[in-house]
Amino acid sequence: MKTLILGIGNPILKDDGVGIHIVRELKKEVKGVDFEEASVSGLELVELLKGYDRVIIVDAIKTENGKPGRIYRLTPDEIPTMHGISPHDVDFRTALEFGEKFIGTMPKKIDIYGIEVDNATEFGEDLTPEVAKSVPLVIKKIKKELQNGS
Amino acid sequence: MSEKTAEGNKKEIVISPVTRLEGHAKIDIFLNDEGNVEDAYFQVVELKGFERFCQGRPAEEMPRIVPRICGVCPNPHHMASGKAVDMVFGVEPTETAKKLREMSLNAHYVHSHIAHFYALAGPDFIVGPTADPSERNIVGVINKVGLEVGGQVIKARADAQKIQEIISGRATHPINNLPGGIAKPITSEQQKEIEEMSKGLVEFGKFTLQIFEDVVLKNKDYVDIITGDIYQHKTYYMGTVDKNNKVNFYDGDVRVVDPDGKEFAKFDASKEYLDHIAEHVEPWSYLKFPFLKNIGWKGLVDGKDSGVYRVAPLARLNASDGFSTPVAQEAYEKMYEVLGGKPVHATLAMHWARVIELMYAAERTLELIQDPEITSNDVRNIPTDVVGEGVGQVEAPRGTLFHHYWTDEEGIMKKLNIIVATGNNNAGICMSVKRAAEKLIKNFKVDQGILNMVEMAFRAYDPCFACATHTLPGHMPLEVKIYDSNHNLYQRFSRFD
Repeated sequence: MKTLILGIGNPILKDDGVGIHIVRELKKEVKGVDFEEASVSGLELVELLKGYDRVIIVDAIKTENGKPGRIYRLTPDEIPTMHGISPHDVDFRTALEFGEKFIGTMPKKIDIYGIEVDNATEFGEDLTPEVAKSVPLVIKKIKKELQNGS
Repeated sequence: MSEKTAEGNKKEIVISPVTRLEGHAKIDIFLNDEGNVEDAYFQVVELKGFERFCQGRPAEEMPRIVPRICGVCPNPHHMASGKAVDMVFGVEPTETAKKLREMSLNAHYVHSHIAHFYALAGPDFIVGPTADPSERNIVGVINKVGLEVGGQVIKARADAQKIQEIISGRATHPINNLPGGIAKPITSEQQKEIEEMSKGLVEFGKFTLQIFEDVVLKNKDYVDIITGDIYQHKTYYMGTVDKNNKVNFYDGDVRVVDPDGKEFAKFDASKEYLDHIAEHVEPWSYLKFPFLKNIGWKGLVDGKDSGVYRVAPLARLNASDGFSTPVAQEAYEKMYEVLGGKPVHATLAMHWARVIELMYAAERTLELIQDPEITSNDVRNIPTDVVGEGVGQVEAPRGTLFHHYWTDEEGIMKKLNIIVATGNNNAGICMSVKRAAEKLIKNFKVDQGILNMVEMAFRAYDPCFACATHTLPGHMPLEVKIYDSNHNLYQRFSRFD
């Protein structure tokens, strides 16, 4: 099963880059799967997914009154919006629908780890403390998922 | 969408970020007792600390850092930054380096304008402005224009991306610009590969112009919407032109025309942009309002006496004497013929101008790749000096972009000023949103279709908010603010869905 672990975010916008931080760490420890970092959304994001059977996306998330560092495990259907819903792009579900229709090789299984941010509006390469604490926890969860073949 | 009654019986409508509006921006509309629009605001969230992030870093790193400001227009930031650091180090790039940079930028235009037309404007004009939101997206567009178009869109975007990748190292976050040129030349094999892809893009550009003609121009209702008074503003227009006053995205003078289309100013941005542009601050907006210094800030009003100017595709066409490539030039002439001559003030004609620019970008890419010098290995002049200050200016797909850097004698960053395209259009966007709301919302009658038509007013600008507010100090803005008629804040709300 061809698997991609995809970290999404802006690595110089503090917690927005948490997905990138996690993927960089995972890459040192896990073999046999592909890793990508991307600061894109919508159509460009979907173009990265083609050819894979299984994709795990790791991204920053901001919910109303959310607790920084909280980890969410979601499927594409569970996110009404996703990183960078921009007036210059389409939302993830629309992009996936487009991909399935016109690219034709969308992954059968896509899971998303979202990490609640504390500060994603200030430039900086570091994570805030609560979000940084979530990094090893997400790594552990993803490694377990990969080992179980789920 | 939600409604809430605030103090003084004003009704407030918030267009929440649920369709194609980024979470970093929102529109607030305020109704009076009669249910008509009293005021409307367009606001963006601030990103902080970019200047501090850059301070103390070597200036030559800037072209690799600035594409990270935004995932939407990394290439223009890379180019403006490249030009700024050329000047910081007092070095002129070689001709081949300039051509390769320009080609990469043009390929970015193809990629960017395709996304806007098919994914963002298309739903309004091909599916319909008041269609159900679940249909009003790119899939709805493709269903209507033909399934085979989906594959062509994918291929053209992928090829435009590939061209940027070959020239600039990486497509999303280009890395190739260095002071005095670029890091690596292209090989003759790459030249052939790009030439083939460019030929395909030219055909795709023609195909898109045809779709615009068949689906939009042949539909009287859509043409009426474009030319109707809901979306009109008579402003100044700004764009970059070559020595023949033809549109150029990478290099040339900045030209400004007045609301009658007469040249008002023409200047070398690297030397004198601050003589022409100043920035106004409003208490309710984190994003500043650039205006023409020699006219002055008269508020969010249009007309010859107001310093408000607009940028982006329509502004570039208004501010130029056309295109240097044949198919784009023909399309340019047709647009002004159909819309009644220059300048065109209809904000929604931005979509037409954008597909004409898509055509030009494809033709220009092909022209540059066929240049005999393009595979030369002479791609860099090595800098030997530090001047300590530099301005880089290019046209981003969504408008004129300025980067201004100051360094110490070692070339270490001390200060920067960046005016992004969406910043330049801030006043225009605010005015357009307010006017559309005023014209469309009457007697409390608001529905999804009407709100989408209000959103269309700003979507035409293809605004990008990720980088628009990055240099401003302050705190996180609240989601909803209510002001009285004197613009004094009297009530605040958090967003409610």
